[in-house]
Amino acid sequence: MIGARTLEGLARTAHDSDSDEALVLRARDGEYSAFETLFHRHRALVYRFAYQMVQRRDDAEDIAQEAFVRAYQNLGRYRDEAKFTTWLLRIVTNLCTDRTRMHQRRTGLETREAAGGLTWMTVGETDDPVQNLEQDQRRAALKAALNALPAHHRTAVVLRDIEEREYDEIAAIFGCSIGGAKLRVLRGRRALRDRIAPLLGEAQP
Amino acid sequence: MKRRDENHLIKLAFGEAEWSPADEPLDRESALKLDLYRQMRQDLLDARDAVPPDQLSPERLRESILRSGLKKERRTLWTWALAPSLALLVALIALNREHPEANVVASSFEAADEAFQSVAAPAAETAPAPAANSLAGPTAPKAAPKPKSSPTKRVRPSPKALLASRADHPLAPAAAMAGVMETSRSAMDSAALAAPETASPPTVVLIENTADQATGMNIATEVRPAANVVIGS
Repeated sequence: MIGARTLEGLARTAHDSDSDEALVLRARDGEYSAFETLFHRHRALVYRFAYQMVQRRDDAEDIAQEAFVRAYQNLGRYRDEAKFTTWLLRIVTNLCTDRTRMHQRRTGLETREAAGGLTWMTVGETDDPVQNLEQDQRRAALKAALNALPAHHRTAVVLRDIEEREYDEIAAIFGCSIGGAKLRVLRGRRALRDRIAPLLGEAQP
Repeated sequence: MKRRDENHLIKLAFGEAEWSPADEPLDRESALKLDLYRQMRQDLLDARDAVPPDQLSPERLRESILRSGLKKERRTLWTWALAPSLALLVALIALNREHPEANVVASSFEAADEAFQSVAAPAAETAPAPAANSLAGPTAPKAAPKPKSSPTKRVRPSPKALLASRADHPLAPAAAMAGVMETSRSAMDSAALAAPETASPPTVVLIENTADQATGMNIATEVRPAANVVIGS
């Protein structure tokens, strides 16, 4: 009985010591390897989110790295009320918004050019070439429409519909209420639809 | 289509609302929209996987952290100190414009100027008492312009002046003479302070006693002119 309880306690301790919050505490105390563990654990999430926001690989890498640098510099300001990933995504959101504002025009042009240049070498998922073409068209339209969205709408759509984050987390990232987060996502989807419809040749309502 | 209906369609398409039997059947436009939203949702989910692999590395991150330093310097304190100062300045300017007769800014500058003058010319603060001045009469040269003093400030007469004002006191003549001498001395000092460019050249020349190497005799060599030299032992 005692042995089982001890094992349970040890398992809980091990689990706690592996949690993000525990790693943050250790990193705060100067243990850099703990921060590296956090980096390995969340780099894919951060990079993917940054890529969805800026649609450029080098920019997304820069943003992801800068986000981890800022997180390390501000570990002392992290509070346990929010999840570490929420806090991290908030940093990435701010960085992406800044980057988007600065390079909106350049990024849009280059993405359009790149999308046009790569259309002919896209490999389809099905054997039907017509279906593949339609699918590619739709993806290109979605990418272009997503790029054309204002930063706050894009962030809301990416967080909810691509990263599948919960509304309370989105609210924490935006610093608003859950109702406000729902409203932002709804508006973002509507704005995305308004931009996609003309690209797919559908009539505006 | 009403916005409310469209919002419901979006929620249906993204799986955030359930289709209930009470809902009205969709017309063609609404059905097309619902279809488009559903397709959009699927494309967004597919976009999650369409991300090229990254080239992030812990070594690169470590270098970046070392390069950018541990903690950036914050300037919040400066910002907080700056804001009240600016507010105070704006308030002073506004007050000065509203009440030009009050002249808050100018009077504060005048006060500062008076304070500076009182420090720069301490001789004026210790000016002789009015009784001594009256004894000096017209022969006393006019000293440097009197600094403005605040009306609340009272100057206590010196003991010598008090003695000189009492003619029946046996020490009164000596005190009066001392007052005259002090007045004339302070007047000379004030004149020298007031117009140093126009002061006469000093009459005292400092000399140095050196021996002539050829003859061995003492020779007086002029070193420099000087003023306020105490002569004697």
